Amino acid sequence: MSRPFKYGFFGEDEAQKTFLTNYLITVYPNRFVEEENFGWQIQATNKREVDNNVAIALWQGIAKFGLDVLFIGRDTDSIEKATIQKVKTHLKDACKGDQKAILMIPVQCIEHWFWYLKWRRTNPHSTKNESLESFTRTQAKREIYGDKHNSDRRLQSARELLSGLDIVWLESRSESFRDFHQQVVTFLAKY
Amino acid sequence: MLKRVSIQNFKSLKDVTLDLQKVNLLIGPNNSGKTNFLKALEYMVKDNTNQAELEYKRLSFNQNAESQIKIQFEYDHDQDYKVNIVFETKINESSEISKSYWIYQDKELVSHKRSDRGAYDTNELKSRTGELKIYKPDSNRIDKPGPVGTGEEVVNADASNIVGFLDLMLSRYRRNIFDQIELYIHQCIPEFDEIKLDDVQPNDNLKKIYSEDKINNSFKRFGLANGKQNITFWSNELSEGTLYFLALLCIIHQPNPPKLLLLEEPEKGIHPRRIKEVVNFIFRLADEKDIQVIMTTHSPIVLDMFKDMPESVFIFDKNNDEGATKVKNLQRDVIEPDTKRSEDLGIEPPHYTDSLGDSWTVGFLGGVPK
Repeated sequence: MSRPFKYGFFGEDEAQKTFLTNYLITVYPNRFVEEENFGWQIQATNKREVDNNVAIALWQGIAKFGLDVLFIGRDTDSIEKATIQKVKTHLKDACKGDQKAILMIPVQCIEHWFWYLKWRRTNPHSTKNESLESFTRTQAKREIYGDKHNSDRRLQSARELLSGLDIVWLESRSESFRDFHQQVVTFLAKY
Repeated sequence: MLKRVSIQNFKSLKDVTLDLQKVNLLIGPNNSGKTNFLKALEYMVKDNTNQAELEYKRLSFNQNAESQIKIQFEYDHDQDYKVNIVFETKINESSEISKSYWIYQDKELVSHKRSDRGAYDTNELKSRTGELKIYKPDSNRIDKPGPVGTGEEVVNADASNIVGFLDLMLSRYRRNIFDQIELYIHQCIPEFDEIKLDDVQPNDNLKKIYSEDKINNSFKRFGLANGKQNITFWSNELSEGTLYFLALLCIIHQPNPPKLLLLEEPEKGIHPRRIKEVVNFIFRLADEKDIQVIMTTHSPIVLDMFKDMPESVFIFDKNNDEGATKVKNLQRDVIEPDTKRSEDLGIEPPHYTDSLGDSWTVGFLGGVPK
């Protein structure tokens, strides 16, 4: 495809969208462009809204907004494989296996992906494979945001960690990130 | 029943037409034109025929003094469905207000009367709507003592005369109305089982609020009592939500409610679990007293209660370029075209009514802030 892929995001919070935006810009510059109208009109604010409305979001994305791809963000809040699988199965079933849907499902929450990046930054020479996903979401959020409550200040902290995003390294540390990244690779390979 | 309202160039309503139902719900972001729509309805029954509208520029779309304001009400005839009656208020570029009405039978014009020819009777419309008010209770007014013995059978738009109203209901309509209000209060806020009214002396603040003719009346305050514990919470000690709820009950239970009830955000200040009951009271009022209702809301819970009547839901948005209000009907302009689009694409249509509140909050229906 010669033109950039028109994408939308349907997920439970702004941190996921921040990660996605920076990921796409860094790893695939000029390959994706956000459909702005979908971006401001269609928004979920929690897991329930994502789970219950993902099918219509995909319908609207494709039929009304002409998206090429919809990224779906959903934290699992768990490290239990069965729970994580259940979330994936529900979302895949809701999307009826549509190839235009890409799932972004961090183990626990998106802040764990940020935390890996922070760990990498503070331990640049370490080869230790620290499994941060076993820590709770509360610990991860405290680690990334400190005592910040304001969402803009929180996102600023997250954004700073995304500069110089090292995909290869993050893939090697986080299975859930690898799973997401591989879906993007597979999607692009079709074009 | 008021079947159709068309408005041109009134405030943000450049050109909108709503086909109304018995109960109607207006949703949309703040400043999208919902209140302007109610104000246009209120304006329609003002006694201002053939006068000059001093506020013409302020009332006209984009404050453009060159556009003619036009508001039309279309009714079915009470007995004959083939007869339509259209009432119209127009303000022309010279700020002059004129009113007209037309009668059509089988779409053929039968009669036309115009106020500027002296043939129009404003009471004809008023007999259909009653006094139109946009009910928006103000807790800062409800919690104050008020004069009694003023014959308050009608609740003010801000419910500021609730003490006088309750006092009259107690003395004149105890069983039919006062006891009903008390019962509903107890059902929804079980710790209260009695509405109390108590004499008070008007202080300086009250004297400032009320005019000379009312300050000589007796003043009372109301409270809600817990009989078991023998405690009364007077109006200034009650929460905003409780005050608002009581005001709503009074509006709904007026002995002669308006035939067209305009309500702003009936869920305001009310616990999510109680919102269903409030809306059910409103539905019951529409059924039992044959009242047409138009209300606004910001509550997904209220919207969920309209899942079986999407034709009653109107979604307000503003056109960003010129600031004109756009209105979509949920059934006709959202569900039907999206179902058709799905059929064309050979895919399952979206089931918005499974969870209307969610569909609105997430943005599938429109009517969300940018």
